[in-house]
Order: sequence, then structure tokens, then C-alpha cells
Amino acid sequence: MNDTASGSDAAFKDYACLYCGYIYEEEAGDPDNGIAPGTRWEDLPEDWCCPHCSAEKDGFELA
Amino acid sequence: MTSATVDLSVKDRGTLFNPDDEAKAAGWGTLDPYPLLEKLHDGPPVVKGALEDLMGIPRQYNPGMWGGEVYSILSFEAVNKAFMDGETFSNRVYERLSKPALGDTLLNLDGGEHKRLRNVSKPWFKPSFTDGWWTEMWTVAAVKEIFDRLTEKDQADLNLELCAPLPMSVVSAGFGIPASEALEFRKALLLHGSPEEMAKGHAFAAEMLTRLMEERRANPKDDLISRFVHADIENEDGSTRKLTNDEAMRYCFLIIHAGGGTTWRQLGITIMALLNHPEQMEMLRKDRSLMRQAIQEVTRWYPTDTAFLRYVEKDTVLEGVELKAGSIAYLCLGTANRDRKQWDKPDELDIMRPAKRHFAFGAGAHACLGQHLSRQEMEVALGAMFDRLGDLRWDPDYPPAALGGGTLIGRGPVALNVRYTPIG
Repeated sequence: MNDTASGSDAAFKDYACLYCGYIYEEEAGDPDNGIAPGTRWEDLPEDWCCPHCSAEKDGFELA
Repeated sequence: MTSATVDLSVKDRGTLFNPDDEAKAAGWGTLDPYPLLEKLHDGPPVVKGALEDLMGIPRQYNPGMWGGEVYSILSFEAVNKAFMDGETFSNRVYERLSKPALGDTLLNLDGGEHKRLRNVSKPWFKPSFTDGWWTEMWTVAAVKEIFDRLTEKDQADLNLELCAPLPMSVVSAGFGIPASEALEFRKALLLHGSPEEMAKGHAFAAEMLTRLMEERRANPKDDLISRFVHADIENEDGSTRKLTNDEAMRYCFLIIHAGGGTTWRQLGITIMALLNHPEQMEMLRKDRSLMRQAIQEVTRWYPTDTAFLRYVEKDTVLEGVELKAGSIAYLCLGTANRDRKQWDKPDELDIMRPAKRHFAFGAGAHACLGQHLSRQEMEVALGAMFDRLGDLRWDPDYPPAALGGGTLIGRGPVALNVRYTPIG
């Protein structure tokens, strides 16, 4: 099975909030808001939002 | 029928909603900052000295009151680093700027205390909530009522008849403050005036809010006061408790105060910019999918606030410049948003620019809580303006519109006198 795009071996990525500059680092997660380190972008819960400005996932882009 | 909005064309607004009057009441100069900032683009990104001194204007702030040195942070990269490093560049400055009038609020708190307090209201200012609850419950109704009034005639001052009443009405209605009391409430929360006047205004606003909070505690409604009085806040140890009356009240004061002012001025700047660039206004009128990037561009090009202050908590080096703990830093949005390294021809308005992050609503942990609501209100208002004010143009009977307000804070058009063909 080829699962390099989102598999556990893929390199961690960072995503930047377009509104306030917060960087979501997959490797670090967002523990203050219950997101464990290593949580992939696509695995974030739908109600997760930017810890700084509340932008939702569609307000982020790959850093 | 009960009105959902405040009609400022018939109500006594005092010095409110004229940026020059508000600035003068605060003792600020009102020169346009951009010609004065021009020369700073070719210099270093961080400079020792107050921004007013670099611009050659009288001090608007009094950074000397903190006793330390003063720096101005000018480039996009440097401003970004300062905004994003809240441990070094804190909001402690607001202990003197806003706390005397509003008490402890999100503005002057930092770190965990700020985060826990901000988390209380975060869900109510997410884009999906502003696009849904705020827009459907309050913004659409307020915009309709305002444009119903505007389309009974063919000329208006859109500053007083659209830009000012819309956000005040939306935020007040969202909180549960009746439109009939919204103007008096906002007047009472003015940050300027003698200590006695401020204390009297604060007492009036507190009395009104206390009454509403008691009502909502007994009979919750679908409004923000009800949400606040029943909200949980996390303690430092992870346990939760209800917000105290005082905490809820200060939270409401801040949001109602901030929510009425920024959007008022920024919507006015946007309408003025479009009227002065008719070819771009026509592009936007024809293609509403450009709305979000157009608002992003106008707020980059001319943010209502030119600079924010931060307190330097510890010795640091920024872009090669040493800043000592205890210093005050001006974070200059005016230069950062027009950084030549970030944008091509940044002094020009171009709504076709790809949307890119800037600092009109701040950045980092203190980024504007209501920024998504503000953008959404502007989108709905501009859409209605295109749909219901045909052949929109400047009124030739009035002098050209001009931007006023404090040079470093609170800029916006003094008046927007227009003519149009009413539709619908």
C-alpha cells in the first residue's frame, strides 16, 4: 500500500493562519487545546480553530 | 415595528462617529500618516525613538510614562516577529491605555490569563459562527433596515447613515442591548474625557449591563450577554468556574466598544477607496467573489490604526537592534503593510492582488477577536450597497471626502456624501 502522502512516516508539515500568523506544527500539535503532538492536519477535529484568532482550517495554508 | 438599528441622522451622537472630533477630544493630531511614513521605508527596520518623532509630529502617545527607552518597529518581518513573540513584546502597555476605563480585559492581560479569558468567547467569533449566527440573526436585518432608509432618498452621508450605525447596531443587538439604548451605551463607554466624566459614563454602562445580565441569568435568550453570564472559564489548575459578574461585564464593555469602532472606520475607508477607484469598484460590483480579497487589500492599504504599542518584557535583539527590558515599542502597521519587500507598488490600491496576510487586525495572541465578524459585516454591507444604490457617486455639492482621525489611531472618513439611484 502506497501511503506516503499522509502516512505516519511522512515528514511533518506546518500550516500558517492567513489572518494572524499562527503556525500549526503537526509535530508539536496544539496540546493546550487537546491536540496531541504528531496530529496530522487532516486529522484535526472539524471544530478545531486557530488558538489565536479563531480562524478555521480553511483559513490556513501550507507554510 | 421595533427598530433594529440606530438612526444617527436623527439622534444626537455628540462627538461620536466623526474621527476628527474623536481624535481632538483625545488630544491627538490628525495628519495623514502616510506621507510622513514614506521616508522610513528606506531606513532600518527597527529604530530607536518614538514613531511620532520619526514622523515629525507631536506625540500622540506618551511612551515616557513607562520610564524606559522607546523604539519603532517598521518592517513587515520585524513587526511580525514582535506580534508573534508575546512573551517579549507584551500588552502590559494597556494597563495605562485601557485599564483605567475598561478594567482588566483581553487588551491588557497576557500569557495564560489572557488565553483562558479569550477561550471563553472564541467559539462566538469563529468565521463559521460569524457567517452563520451573527450574519443571519443580526447583520442581514440591520443592513436591510439601513438600506430601506437609504433608498427612501437619493443622497446620503454613508459615514453616519451606514458605516457608523451598522456595527454598533449589530454588536449591540448580538449582545442583547436594545437599539433604543445602544447609542447612549456607546457614548458612556467613550475612553476620553475627564476622570469624572469617564467614571460617570462607566457607572451608567455598568448599570445598564447589570440589569441585562440579571434578566438573562433568569431568562436566557439567544444573545451574547446570556452566553457570557452562563459561560465557564478555565482556572489555572484546569478546573472551571463561571465568569464573575465583573469579568462578564468587562468582557462586554471591551467587545461592544471595540466592535463599534473599528468596523465603522474600516468600512468607511473601504467605501471611500472604492469610490475613488471607480474601475475597481465596478470590478467588485460585477464579481462578488472578489469581495474577500478586496477587503483584505483595503485593510492592508489603509488600516484604521497606524501603530500599536507593546511593552518590552526582557532584553532582546530584533533585526540586529538591542531592545532593553522596560522599553516601549511602536509596532508600525502603516509601514509594515506597505513594506516594499512584501508587496509590489504597495502604495497603490489593487483589489486584484492575491490575498496575503498583513497587520490591520494585529497578529499573534492579541489578534483582533472580532476580525472575522468585521470582515463579514463589511461584505454584507458592500453587497447591499451594490445591489441597492445604483449609479453610486460622490455628491458634487460637498467637498471631496477626506480621511481624518488620529494620526496613529482611529483613522476614517469624516463624511461620505454620495448620490445614487435607489433600487428596491
